Amino acid sequence: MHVIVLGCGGAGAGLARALSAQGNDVVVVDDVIDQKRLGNEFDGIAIAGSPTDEDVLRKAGIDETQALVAATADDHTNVMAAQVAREVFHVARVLTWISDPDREEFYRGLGLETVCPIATAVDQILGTLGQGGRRGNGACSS
Amino acid sequence: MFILIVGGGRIGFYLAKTLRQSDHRVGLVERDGGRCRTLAEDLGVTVIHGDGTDIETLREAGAGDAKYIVALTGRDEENLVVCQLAKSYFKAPLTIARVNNPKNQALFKMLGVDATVSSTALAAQMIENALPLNGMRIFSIFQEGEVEIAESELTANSPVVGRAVSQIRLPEECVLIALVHHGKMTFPRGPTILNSGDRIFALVRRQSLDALERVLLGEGK
Repeated sequence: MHVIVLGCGGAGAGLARALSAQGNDVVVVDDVIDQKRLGNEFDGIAIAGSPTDEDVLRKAGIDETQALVAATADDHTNVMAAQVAREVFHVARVLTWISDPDREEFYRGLGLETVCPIATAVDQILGTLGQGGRRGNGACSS
Repeated sequence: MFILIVGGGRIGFYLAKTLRQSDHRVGLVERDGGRCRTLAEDLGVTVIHGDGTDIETLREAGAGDAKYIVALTGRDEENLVVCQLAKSYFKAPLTIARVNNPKNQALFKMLGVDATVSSTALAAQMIENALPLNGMRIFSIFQEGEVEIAESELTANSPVVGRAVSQIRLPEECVLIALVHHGKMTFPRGPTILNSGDRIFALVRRQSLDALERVLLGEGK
């Protein structure tokens, strides 16, 4: 599968490495590419450029990609890039990493497919404590 | 009317100041604490110190009562988030975003922002307007951009000099709207005679600009 990963920080680079190790065609895009973070095992393509810029995304192959994960360290960048991918390029599967739980809920309401590590962690902790999940979206079983 | 501005940089500051002078209620959200104090002291408006892309901060700043919400931070990504929260969460009737990259103007409209302002595009436009290209200056004042105001100065060689407005065959989608004769602005009517040195303003559809130029300034220009 061809996947574009936006972000070359902890989340983005880690995800790109894992997807690459599983045999996917991965393209990483970020303002600055951290080769060390990507590691020697990574055999995809890394492009330095703004993740919200349509021309940069075109260069990353967004017209043909099957999936895009917006996972930069900046929620706003992720939210905007994900909407560009969906509305302009009609990418089949778009996942958006959003750190702020309130904003995540809002954008999920607007139809984005979101991942919120904090909300997931809180759910998981509540589940472990036998308190039930904060929201019943299957992020974890309680 | 309450207007909420997110981003207290130079544009935010002058907008708040101008709106205050026309007796509107203005609120400002600014992330930098020092800048907040300056804004509050200089403007006498309520300034909320915080992140304008944060729902709680927006609520505290009165986003729920705002008629207009204007996002003026230096980052397009943040301005988009502010406007989307304003529109869909706080139901603001009108949202306006500053875009730094002119390419984002069309995108923002597509994503539900009501209006965009690009200072980059505006500056480029104003500089272009100041340059008399091909003997005509063009003022693109209508957002749709299909219709322009064109200004041209008549020279002694102009084919229309010495003739009355009614004798000129203008392109179809074009109206002469003003004439400056010896520094005095007049309204051109049928009998008005055009003179060398007159500056003439026309409202014209963009496709007819070339045709208008040929009529007023001649083929050789």
